[in-house]
Amino acid sequence: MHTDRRRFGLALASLAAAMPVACARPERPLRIWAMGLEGEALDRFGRDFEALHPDMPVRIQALPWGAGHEKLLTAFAADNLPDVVALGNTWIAEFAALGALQPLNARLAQSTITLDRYFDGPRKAVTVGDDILGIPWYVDTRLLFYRKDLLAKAGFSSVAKTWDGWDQQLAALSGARRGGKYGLLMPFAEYEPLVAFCLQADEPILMDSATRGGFRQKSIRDSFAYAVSLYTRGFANRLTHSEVTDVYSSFARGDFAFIITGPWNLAEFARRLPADMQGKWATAPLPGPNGPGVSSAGGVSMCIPKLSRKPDQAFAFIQYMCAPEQAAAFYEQTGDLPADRGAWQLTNLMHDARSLTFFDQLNRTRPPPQVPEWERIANEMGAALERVVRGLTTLDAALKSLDEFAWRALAKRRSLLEARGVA
Amino acid sequence: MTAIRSVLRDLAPGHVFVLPAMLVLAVFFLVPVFGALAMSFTDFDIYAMADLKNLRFIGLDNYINLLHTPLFWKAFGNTCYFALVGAPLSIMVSLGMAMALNVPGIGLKPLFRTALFAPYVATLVAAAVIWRYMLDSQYGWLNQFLIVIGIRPIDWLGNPHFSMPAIILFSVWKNFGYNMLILLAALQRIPDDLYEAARVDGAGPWERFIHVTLPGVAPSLWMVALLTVAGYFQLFAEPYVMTQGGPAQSTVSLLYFMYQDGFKWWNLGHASATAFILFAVLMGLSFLRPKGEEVFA
Repeated sequence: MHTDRRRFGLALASLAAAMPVACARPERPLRIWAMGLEGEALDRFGRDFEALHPDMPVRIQALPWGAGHEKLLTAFAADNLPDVVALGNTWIAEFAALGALQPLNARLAQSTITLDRYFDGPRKAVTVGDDILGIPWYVDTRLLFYRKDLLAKAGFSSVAKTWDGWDQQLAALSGARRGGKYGLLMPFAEYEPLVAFCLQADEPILMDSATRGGFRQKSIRDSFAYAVSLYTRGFANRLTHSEVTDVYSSFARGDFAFIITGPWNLAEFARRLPADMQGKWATAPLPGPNGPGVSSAGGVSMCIPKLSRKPDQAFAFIQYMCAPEQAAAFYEQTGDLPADRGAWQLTNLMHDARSLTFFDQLNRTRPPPQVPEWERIANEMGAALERVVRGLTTLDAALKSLDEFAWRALAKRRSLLEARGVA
Repeated sequence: MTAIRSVLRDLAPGHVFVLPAMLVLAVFFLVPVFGALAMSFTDFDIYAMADLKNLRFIGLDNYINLLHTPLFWKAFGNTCYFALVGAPLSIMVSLGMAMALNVPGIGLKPLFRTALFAPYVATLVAAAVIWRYMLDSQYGWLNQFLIVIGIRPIDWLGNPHFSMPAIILFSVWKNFGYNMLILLAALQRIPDDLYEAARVDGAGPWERFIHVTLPGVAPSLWMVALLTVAGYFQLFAEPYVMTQGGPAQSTVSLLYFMYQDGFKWWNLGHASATAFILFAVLMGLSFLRPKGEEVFA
């Protein structure tokens, strides 16, 4: 009993002793959150920034991509967002709807950042109404990675620019002639390729100020039907994500000749494919219905939450990171493509055919619909594709239920816009 | 004044003793539950999180909306499939193992008991990850084994028809140990004379099982069944770790649906409504009782 009481007293005393220490901490550092490997790579740049600005200590925290979205929303609900947050471009609309981000127009006007030099896709993605809510940091789009040798063996010298031409190549690279292998790897769990095909349509995926789905419009239906046909014609295997154990060795074995993926794989393919495979792969723009197609504009931008207590310092950090020199150095370290065309000139990106394809494709991108509900709708699109391909429903029934899904998902947005007299 | 005094007079020491527990229960259970119930009648979502002015009271709309959501019914069906196939299977395995352990004259009983109970105490997520490797369509040993005995390999987690059986298989393996211990205790309470008498009367092994063993373990069996079905209705971690609800949403359970709705898409009002439907189902289940009270020993 005695010891218990003494221990309790000791605990109280130590707590009391710790209090002033906690309060007398030196100035709170600038808090920065970034996702995944980029978050970890940012550490070095944070230290360089501190060396230049000894009065601005920074603390960088890397969040895993998988849990990032939940963590950001939870932090928002708790008024605990950091001073700088690197947001996926598809999330910006959502945080804009939450009113969580500061417009950067005024700061941008007085800064060294030339937004005009940036690619259009990410520039549109950070602009909501008239407000510029973030500075594009690195960009991402989807295009084809392919096996040159397999394509040549099938008698083609380059990747087709149109769906029809690509179909012929896929037909030659799939099925009996290649021992039952598939031409294309396109797992259902990744909705990005499907979204890219739908962005190639002449009509928008969401209609009427993005208050309802437009899945039954002719060109969207065509895009969807095209994606379905890639499986039903035997060009792509019916895989959900979890079964693709190792994409790289499977690509090296020639299990598939094409994969629709993003710029991070430039570095990964170079690192993970065996040496004798290195001369045998290349990149090509995504084929479109008539001529080279557009792809989705993705990427990550740096934003400042409204509740940041150090917006000036936060912007100083963003300006530092988005300057061409840092963007180029960041590319060297991570392989992430700079959003600023000016930074491309400082790297070897313009001298490499594989990355030049990205430059070409990045000039031909469209951002996906900028509404908070988008990711949910895109997820459902992937699920609908899987149901149609597996024969659980028909294409038209699936598109009708997608429209119904979008109608329900966008109900709140519709009523809010009506209340404001927009739609 | 007199009212307060009379209340104080009626206050027994017992009331004071339960008070802290009741307070904790109220703060951490009752208040959140009523909060969630209230939330299920609103359209609380990210717009409401941005500005509470965007929060609207919508009555039963969430519930009506859910009844028109195909994925909700899909999740409901998947959950029923899992509970109604998985729970009986799990109990059968538990009973079988308990009976095997109860056979007199088997050596190393404590060792077997521990080994069979081990899956139950293993970490669910770690076990699920290992099972995902075992069930892998190309490299998993389960399929290698099928090939050896001449059966076509099955794409367990990639085929919508086999994903739920695979998860049921995993859950049965993971959970049978607990029920096995309860049933073993019940089996050991059955007097040997009953078996002897049955044998003298000419009852074979099957008749002895039907007429002696089953009635003997019936009270425990009923409780085990109730707890298992209720537990199986709360399927979540297995699909979360092993399949993420796929393929073709064949392993989306009610709880997984609710989790995605609430914490991925932030439709907290809608998700609360799902939670209360699940709650109602579980409450309904717990009122199921055998007709004769004597079954409860």
